Amino acid sequence: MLEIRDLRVAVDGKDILIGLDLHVAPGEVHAIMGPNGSGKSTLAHVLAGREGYEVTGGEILFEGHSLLDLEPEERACAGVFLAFQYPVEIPGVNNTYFLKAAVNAIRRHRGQSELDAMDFLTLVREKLGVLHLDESLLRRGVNVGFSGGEKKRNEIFQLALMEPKLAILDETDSGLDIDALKDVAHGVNALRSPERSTILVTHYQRLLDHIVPDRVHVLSGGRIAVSGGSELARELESRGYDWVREEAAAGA
Amino acid sequence: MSNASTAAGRYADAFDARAPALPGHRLAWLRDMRRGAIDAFSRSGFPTPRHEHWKYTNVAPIEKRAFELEAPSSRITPAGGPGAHVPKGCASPCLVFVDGRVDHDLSDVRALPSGVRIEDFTHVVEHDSGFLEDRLGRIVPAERTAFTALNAAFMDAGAVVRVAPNTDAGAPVHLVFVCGSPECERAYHPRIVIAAGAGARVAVVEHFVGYDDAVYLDNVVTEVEVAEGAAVEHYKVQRASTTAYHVAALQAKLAAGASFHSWAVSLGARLARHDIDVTLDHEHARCSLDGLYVANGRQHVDFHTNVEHVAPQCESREYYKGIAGGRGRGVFNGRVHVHPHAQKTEAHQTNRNLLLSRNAEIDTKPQLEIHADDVKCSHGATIGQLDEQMLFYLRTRGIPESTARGMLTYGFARDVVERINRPDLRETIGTAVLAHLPGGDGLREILE
Ligand SMILES: Nc1ncnc2c1ncn2[C@@H]1O[C@H](COP(=O)(O)OP(=O)(O)OP(=O)(O)O)[C@@H](O)[C@H]1O
Ligand SMILES: [Mg+2]
Repeated sequence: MLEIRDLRVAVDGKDILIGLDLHVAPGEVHAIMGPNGSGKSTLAHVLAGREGYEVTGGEILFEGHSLLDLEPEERACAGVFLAFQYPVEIPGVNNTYFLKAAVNAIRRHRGQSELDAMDFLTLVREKLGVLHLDESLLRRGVNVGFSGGEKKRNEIFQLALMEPKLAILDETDSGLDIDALKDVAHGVNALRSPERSTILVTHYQRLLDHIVPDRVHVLSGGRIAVSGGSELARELESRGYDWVREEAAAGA
Repeated sequence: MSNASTAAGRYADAFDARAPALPGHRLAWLRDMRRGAIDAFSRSGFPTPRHEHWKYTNVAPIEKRAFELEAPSSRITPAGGPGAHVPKGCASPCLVFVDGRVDHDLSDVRALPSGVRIEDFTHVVEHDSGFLEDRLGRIVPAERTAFTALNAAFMDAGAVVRVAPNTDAGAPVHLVFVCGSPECERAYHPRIVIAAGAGARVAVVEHFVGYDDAVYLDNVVTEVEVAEGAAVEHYKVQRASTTAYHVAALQAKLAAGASFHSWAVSLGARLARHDIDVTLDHEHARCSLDGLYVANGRQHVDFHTNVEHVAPQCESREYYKGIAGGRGRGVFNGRVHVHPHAQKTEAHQTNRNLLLSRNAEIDTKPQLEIHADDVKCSHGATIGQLDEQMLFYLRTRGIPESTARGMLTYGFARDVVERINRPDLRETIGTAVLAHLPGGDGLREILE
């Protein structure tokens, strides 16, 4: 599904990733943890195609094709989805209109017919229920005035509507109350299938109690410093990151 | 004999030739008014960028052209006929002017509520000149600018809207001007008079549309009289051909407790200049001025608004937004003048602008002159660009870049459109705005 080889990324001339390798097979869930500022969001943004991140080396293959040559919207159509750590507010653009435009852009790309207002509403109602999102949020500007938790739910709501092949969740769990966390986990798990993969960027074990990862990686020092099974997350929770840094330093 | 080599001389000669055929030539007061106006114009000539009010807007292209001042005898109608140019949603009552004359087939002013009169300006000149004698030039003096002088000299079409005291005119009155003759380069001088009696309510919409590629000048003057406790809404939708010139002066005079809402959008024309003036010289009068200007390609649009707070306890609010793309140029000058006796004035002004390209330019100048001490006044002006983070967010959802830009651009303009109080007008005007925004086509559903 996703093959990242020796990825090097600089921002404003500062090296953030210095040789990151990551392989995510279809159907797998990978968790990426790591200290603040280690480059987790940088990786997520580079995957989604954000300008301003300079890829100075390496490659990213998605289903065998280079992602780096694609525009952000082309990546979305190819099946890459990023749930943002900080979803942006877009005043003046109605949430329903935006969601419909997004869903239909993807459908057009897949050669499916566009949904009309009625069909779209049916789809929306079905997915809204899962995430316990209030329908009134649909009538507002995109994320405008949404609470922190509502913004995160709205990201997962979009994930549910767009049904991507690869979902990247950047700290979607941060700032969520317990019920919201369950709803988000439920939304992600509902999409799990042998064809779909997920990358969870998180700081906390508690999300991983609900979405059990196949692999856990620690991003530190600009590369994946340690990888392991789901038990690694619990170890990090009790021991912190210092030992990872030390091991990485010793290994290098 | 004038000097025909100068623009002023050309217009003076044209006036001498045309005067006997102008409406109301037999009325001494009107003859005198026109004569005084053309003399004033001859003395001033067209303004140059040396005039403070025309600093950013050079009207030399208008001065250079030798516009015809009357309708050609034959009339060739472009494809689809003028009816095709009447904006959708212009329901009854409406008065449609095609190439400077009322088109009775396209107009519909039959089923009006009692107390409401909507008439062709020339008809009122012929049959009810007393009404006009008391009003013409009283709110917009002929010599106010070179353009208002030309309008006063040549005005030969337009509309008079009268609403009797305590009457609600109901549905908005549409005045549609389909301009531009395919045969020659014409100048049009429509005059619009709106008079709302005490406690009356009325909404008037001025639409200006033009044939593709037609070169012409709209030079419009609108005088609005709002009597005690009356409420007037005035909407202006400027969609002239992008090869045309549009100059308009609107002025409203408010009695005690009266209210005036001006909502204006400037979308068309190669060069457009809008002067909007409101005089609050009686207590408890209120006005709100909302507007949107869009300049694309090589378009130039200039709004000069001016609110005179003469009496105490009046209120004015102003909300303008501008969008410039391509090599477009926008100018906003918002003057608020609080006179020494105008205590307890409340005046707020906001102007926000969006630049869509590197070669676009917008000049904004809030101009607050406050000579009273017990007042609440504020103003804010900004110039920005589309937000890269918003753009990225939309694109990560599969929305193509050009569509995403269009969505954000309309998103910027949206709250101005939402200040249109009437849902059906909001829809009609919103559609027009969308059609003129870069990337706006294909975003039809954004209006819902
Ligand atoms: N535009 C930028 N200009 C300069 N530095 C940047 C920029 N964007 C990111 N960085 C730096 O890159 C580093 C990695 O940031 P990133 O947001 O990827 O970290 P993160 O691992 O997601 O952290 P967190 O856990 O706090 O979300 C940080 O040191 C950050 O300051
Ligand atoms: Mg981060």
